[in-house]
Amino acid sequence: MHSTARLVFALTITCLGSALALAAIHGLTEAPIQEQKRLATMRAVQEALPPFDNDPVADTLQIILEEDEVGAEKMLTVYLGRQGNTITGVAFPVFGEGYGGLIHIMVGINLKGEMSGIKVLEHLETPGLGAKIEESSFTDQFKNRSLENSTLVNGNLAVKKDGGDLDALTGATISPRGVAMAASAGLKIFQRHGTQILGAPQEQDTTMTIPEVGALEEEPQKATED
Amino acid sequence: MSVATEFTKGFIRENPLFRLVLGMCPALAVTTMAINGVAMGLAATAVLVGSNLVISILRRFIPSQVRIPVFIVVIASFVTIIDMVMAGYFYELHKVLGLFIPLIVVNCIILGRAEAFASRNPILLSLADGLGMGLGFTLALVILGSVREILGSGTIFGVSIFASGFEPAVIMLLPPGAFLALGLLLGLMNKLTKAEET
Amino acid sequence: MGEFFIILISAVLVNNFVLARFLGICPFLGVSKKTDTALGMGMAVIFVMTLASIFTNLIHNLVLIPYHLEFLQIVTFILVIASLVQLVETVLRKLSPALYHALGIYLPLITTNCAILGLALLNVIKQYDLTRCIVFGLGAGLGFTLALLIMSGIRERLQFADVPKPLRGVPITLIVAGLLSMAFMGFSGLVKM
Repeated sequence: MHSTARLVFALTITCLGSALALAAIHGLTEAPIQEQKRLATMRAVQEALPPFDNDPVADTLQIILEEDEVGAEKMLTVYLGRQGNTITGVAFPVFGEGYGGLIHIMVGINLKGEMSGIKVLEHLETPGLGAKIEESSFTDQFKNRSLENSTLVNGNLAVKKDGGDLDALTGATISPRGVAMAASAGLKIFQRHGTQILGAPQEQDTTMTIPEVGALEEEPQKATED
Repeated sequence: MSVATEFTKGFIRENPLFRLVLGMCPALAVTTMAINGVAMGLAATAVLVGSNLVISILRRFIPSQVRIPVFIVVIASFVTIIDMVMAGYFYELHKVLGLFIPLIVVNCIILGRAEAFASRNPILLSLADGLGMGLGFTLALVILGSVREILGSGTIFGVSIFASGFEPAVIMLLPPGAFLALGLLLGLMNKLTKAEET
Repeated sequence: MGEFFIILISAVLVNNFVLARFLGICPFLGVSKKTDTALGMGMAVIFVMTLASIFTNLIHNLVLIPYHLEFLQIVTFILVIASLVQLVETVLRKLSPALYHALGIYLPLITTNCAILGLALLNVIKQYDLTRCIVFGLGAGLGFTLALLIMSGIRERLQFADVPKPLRGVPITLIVAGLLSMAFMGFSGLVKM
């Protein structure tokens, strides 16, 4: 059994060496990786929000969506854009159904309930066709649109083909539809939770937010620092 | 067996993708643009050089019966390192290559070189072998990526080379195009090597 | 129940592991020359894939996450897969020596079949729980086998066709795969994933 011991020993040493090396590199790269993720979120938020002078990635609020709300995670992180002490806009990720899967966008909404911008985060649309939703020539048309100032179809924003106001892309309608649905979801979430979000205090403030009566079943959390 | 021959064989004579027909999964999946081919190729090269080096250093200590699991652990470790480094410093490329960075582990080229070469040869030669094979793979990926990018988007390395009237064949960016492009390129390689043999 | 069906259909047809995700190409090209070997390989892969799906999910949820060892994912997953393949090899040698010999070198090569590791990693990305992992693994294996069987049927007939010399072997197989992939693209939108 001497040789079996030798085999087991060789394997164990290899695995240990591997685990140690990986733990070391993991320790070294953890910070840069988090920083990259932070930067990616920052880029998305910058395109969605109206001008701000705070750090929206750190200045966040968690809200919990209700059962019947669609198009976003139930535990939603809202990024707050401020100028001075006042919130000028909020941004959060929403999604809608595209051709190849879900399309994720970051939607930014200003105090008037209009979209200040959107940024496509992730999608599985066809390159050269549906993938063109990434381009600003498509996303710019969402600026300043709200549920109040647009033609709605079944309560949502829609492309011209379906009776709405939005331009689709040549050769691809399903992808723009997905973006329209995502944007609508975002606007509706703001409609329902806007008062709650805008009542959020500054980062350093420790007072609890005052929930809208009957808005939520659970207590909202105060603005969190990342 | 000189360092020079071991280094250059990976480029044409024993090109891993075009001649040995290895590493096809990542080749087909990521080559929608030439730059992706570069990224994947260099990542695979880094793993190949690292694993060839370590395996060559340890070759006298690894018992034969467990050599494959040991090779696999070494390769998997280097792949994890490259994955973490790319996530930390090359975020966009990391996102594009996605699933196929961890899949470098099962890229037959790397295990193949470990078994066929690094476990039997001294360090310097193994390094040359790894570097040559890796760069040859990168070259093949860039060629495949360029073909698909030019025909599928009308650009090369992001630079538009046709006038705006050019309608790219989007199919080249989709799975069928990948298969067709590689199949035709391999056919072309066969034709060219036959021609030089006669 | 409906969702499981969707996951299954998606893995077999809409996002076929070989023809849409580019996973498992090496065995796909290597074992698809004859239909009976293809079927044998397919069965072995379905078995390994479903088991691998289960075990990698368990290891990930019961060991890696609680101890914050997610960075050991690649190493542990590939070791689990290698062990499973070793197991299948031993079992097959006892139960069906004929199939064992027919598959030859391709059996241990299932370890380097990127489809299996790819499956394990996709389970993590999609955050599937254990039951969904099983369904997805089953679907992935079935899709792989389907692609393999179709290809072997075509290649058996291709032997009698007059293929230009440079294209014989791997090139023509890839071109056929391209056409198959195009056909499978017709399944897009079949299920809303």
